[in-house]
Amino acid sequence: MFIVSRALYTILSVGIFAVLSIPLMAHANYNTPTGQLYIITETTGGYTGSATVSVQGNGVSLLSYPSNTNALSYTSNFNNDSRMVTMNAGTYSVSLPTDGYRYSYSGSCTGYMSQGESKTCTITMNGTGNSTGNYGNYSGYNGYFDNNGVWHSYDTDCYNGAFYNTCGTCNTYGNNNCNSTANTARVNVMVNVVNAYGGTRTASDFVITVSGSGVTSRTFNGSINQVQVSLSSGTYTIDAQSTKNYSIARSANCSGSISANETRSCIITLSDRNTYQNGNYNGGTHYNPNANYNYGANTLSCQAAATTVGVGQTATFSAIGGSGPYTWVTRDRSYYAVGPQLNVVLLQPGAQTVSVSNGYQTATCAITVVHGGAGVVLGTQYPGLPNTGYAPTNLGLILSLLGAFVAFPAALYVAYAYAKRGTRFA
Amino acid sequence: MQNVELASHNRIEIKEQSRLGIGGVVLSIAFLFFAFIGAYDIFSRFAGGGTVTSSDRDVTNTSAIQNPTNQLSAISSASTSPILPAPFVPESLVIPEISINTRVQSVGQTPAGLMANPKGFKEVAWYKLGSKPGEAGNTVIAGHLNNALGMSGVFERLGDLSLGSEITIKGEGREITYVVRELHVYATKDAPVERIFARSGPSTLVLITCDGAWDTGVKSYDKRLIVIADPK
Repeated sequence: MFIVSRALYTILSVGIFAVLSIPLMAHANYNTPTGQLYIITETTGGYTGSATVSVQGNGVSLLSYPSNTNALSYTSNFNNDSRMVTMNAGTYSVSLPTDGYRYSYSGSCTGYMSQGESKTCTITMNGTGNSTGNYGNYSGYNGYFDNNGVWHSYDTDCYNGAFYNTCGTCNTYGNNNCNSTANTARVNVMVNVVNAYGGTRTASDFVITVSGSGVTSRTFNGSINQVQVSLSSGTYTIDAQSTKNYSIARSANCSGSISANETRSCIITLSDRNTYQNGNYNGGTHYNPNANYNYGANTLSCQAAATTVGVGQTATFSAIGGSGPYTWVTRDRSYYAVGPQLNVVLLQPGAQTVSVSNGYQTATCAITVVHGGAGVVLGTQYPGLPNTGYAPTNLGLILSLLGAFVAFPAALYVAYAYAKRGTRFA
Repeated sequence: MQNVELASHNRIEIKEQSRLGIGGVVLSIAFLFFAFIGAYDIFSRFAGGGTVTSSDRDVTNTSAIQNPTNQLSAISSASTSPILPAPFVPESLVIPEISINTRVQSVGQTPAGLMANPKGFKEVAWYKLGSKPGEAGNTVIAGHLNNALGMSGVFERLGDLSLGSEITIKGEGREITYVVRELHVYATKDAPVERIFARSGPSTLVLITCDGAWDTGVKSYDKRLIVIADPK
């Protein structure tokens, strides 16, 4: 009996323990995290601001066990803030709003969370944004990078939704790649150095600076060969730096306002100077028009690309020596303060003289404009040979055969019909 | 009743024959037109010896045709300097040897930069942006080889000229007679245009027409015949 009662007691005890243990065991199983994602938010320096971190996933929760929801968010101050998010197996992602800062994400901020897996997602804020928290700053342009690394502009000349590309110009559609040439203005910059007083510097010794909106090359070394600068429409200025002992003359298009798709040429002439003449040396930074420079050793001359051109054809003249800016005078008009080269269409036939002056010296070019009416535009100085032939054909012979074998019998038939009519009504 | 039927029958027959009459007139005109074209074409072909190309010319008759490699070495180097009248705008071209007596038009360039063609295939064109006859440099005149119907152009027989053939240019009451010095056949794309259209040097006459084979791709003959003549 004792044995039976002990056995029953044991059975009941085990049963009661088992029954009582069921919810505990169930709770123990529910409390086991399926996956753990540690989210660390930090900043590279500069201004740090709070931002809302959003987590998408299967049962994501900031507690130690997954929830029944698939999304959560929390505010982080990005001061090495660290959180653990639990979730069930499945895909997940962590993101931040496009709030004016550029964020970088480690590889584990999106992906698939397996059962029992533990991952770490690190989000780094680019702290170069300003104190308002609404703007980032990229090469002087206001806007922000979205999570795809695409720059969105707040500038008025690159409206919202458009992108400043890496050229610094505005892409209406697409991305931030510098592959769009639409609406881009261009300035061809040429640097001409005249060493009349023993100067030894060359064009590449001068640093050219370009100010303006969307400028691709803000500084570069000068070159006698043109360097093309792309920029957005608007005002711009091109100048040369480190011009000590050299006077600088900039042609008209070295500054001003340029339109979209417009192309201009800027010629910067740098002339070495006699630093002792007349005591007018001004430090060599800029050309002093009041100085009495001695140009005798640097005589200005004019050179025409061709001595004869056709009416309507572009004639090219070059100023050799001297120092600009140059003023060109043709029969019909003057071109003030332009570069050492003049391209002009001459419309009046006959011998003409074109003169160039730099204010101190004058030189002339002689040119003959040959026959042709005004407005005739010539492609080249010498034309191509005329096309004085047509494709070989026997169409003429075919027509003659047609005449012989078709029209002639038809005419005979008609003549016969008339003859028959005359007989009947005679 | 029978008379009425006969009258009705006659009206119908008269209408039919009126239509025949109109058709006959039209066909007769067509016949005359076609016959004229055919006769003209046949005459011009046989009179001119057929379409001339550089490959089938009578070498003995055109022995002066130069190899392009020789280029226009003497195109502007006439050995004599005859007294010439004052420069004038050419108005007519006469080449008795090949029965040419035609009007000269004045042309410039096409938008593509070629010397423009004469309007019509029976007249020639003077390049007015070059030199006038009597002026230093080359007076360039071009004429068609043929027309779109395959009929002979004014310069179809230009290759029949030989050294010493005479060419006369008239205009503004003046005239200059030239003597053929050279004939050249150039590949169109390689022709020395700077020499052909030279604006300096002795006064020289240059005649141009098509030659060679038809290039369908560029819609042009692949060669040009260039005749060089000096004032007599």
